[in-house]
Amino acid sequence: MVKEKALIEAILFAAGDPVSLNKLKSITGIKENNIKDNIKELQEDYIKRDAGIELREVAGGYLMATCSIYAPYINKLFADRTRQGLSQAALETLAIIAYKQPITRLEIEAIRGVKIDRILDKLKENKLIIEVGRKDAIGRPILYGTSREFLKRFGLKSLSELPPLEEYLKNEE
Amino acid sequence: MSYKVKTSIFEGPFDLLFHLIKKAEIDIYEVSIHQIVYQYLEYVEKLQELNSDLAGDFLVMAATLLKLKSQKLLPIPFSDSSEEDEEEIYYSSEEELFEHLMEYKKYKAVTEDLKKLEEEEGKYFTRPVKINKKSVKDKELENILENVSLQDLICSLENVIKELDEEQPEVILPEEISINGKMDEILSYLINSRKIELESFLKKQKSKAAIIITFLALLTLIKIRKVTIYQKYTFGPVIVYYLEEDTEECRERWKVSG
Repeated sequence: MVKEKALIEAILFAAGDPVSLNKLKSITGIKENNIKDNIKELQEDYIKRDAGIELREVAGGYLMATCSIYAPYINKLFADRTRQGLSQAALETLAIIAYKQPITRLEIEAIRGVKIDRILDKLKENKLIIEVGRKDAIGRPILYGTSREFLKRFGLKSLSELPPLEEYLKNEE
Repeated sequence: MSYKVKTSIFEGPFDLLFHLIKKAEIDIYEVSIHQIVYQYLEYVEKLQELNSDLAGDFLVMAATLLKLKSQKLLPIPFSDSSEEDEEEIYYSSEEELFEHLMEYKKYKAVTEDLKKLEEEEGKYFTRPVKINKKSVKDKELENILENVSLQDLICSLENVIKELDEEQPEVILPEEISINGKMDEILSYLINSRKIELESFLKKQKSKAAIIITFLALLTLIKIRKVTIYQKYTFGPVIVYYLEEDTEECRERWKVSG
């Protein structure tokens, strides 16, 4: 006997990547509202029994992940393959792309004042940025934007969750 | 760009400038360029020992700043409106620089937050996904390989290796042609027949490389005066003669002519 809540749990466990509401709908055939209710129930279940995992909403989907308080232990488990954080240069470049997308390489370089070929390659390699088109200008330069992987990496539901820019300017002055 | 000096402070010229402006606690619109350049050069001096690439980048920035400073020292071109509010006049390049700098400052600030977000997010572990979004491609691959057995794969591999073996002599062949070898060839041919008609000799060569090397060998032989060439009339056949016995005479000629 297939139970809706258990089915959704099974899918999210197997996925390992954020699964969108639409995808859950098409896989299970369950109504959107019921999916949402089930997910809420699952989330509460985990909290109630102090589970080691939780259901999170990231990058436009639902994601099953271990609770952050256990991170130091999981890090020990993966001691040989811990993910390195992005370098300062890569982060700055990524920030510019995130806020100004779509943007060309030259436009980014104008802001950062340095060449960024290698950084762009690295970001592409990590699938944090994608080519989103070509600018209607001389040479039709590539336009870059952030990917779903970017949202996942920074735990954002969508781009609208990016920290606001202007406030920082005001705070600084 | 990979920097050897990797602190949160030095990552690029704008970055450094920003740091210096912050350190000097100067309002960005009232930057004393003299002060900045002075501090700037101090850093460049330190950096040169660590990373010349980086120092080069920074020198460009220092030069830009010096240019701006010198522009500032020059009298402002005549303009009536300029006298009214001198404070707000900026040269286009300077304005542009500050515009970029202000913008950069914005992103620099937000980068700190992104870093924190990344760190926070790094504490959540999900089940590892081996191949990202490639499941469709995998299926395609499966379809392609559906009717292929391991034996087929081994066969085609063997075929490819066999072809490689057959091609090998062709690869080695060009390496066997050397200028020295060709020089010997030309000389031994000349000893027998005293002269060679150049065009027909080159035509005998089996590959482009052989023709080129033969030609080079001929040039070398002419240079060391083992042979000489002669053409009776324009566009006529070029004849190569053996020269060894005439060497003395030849040298005399060279001495005379210069």
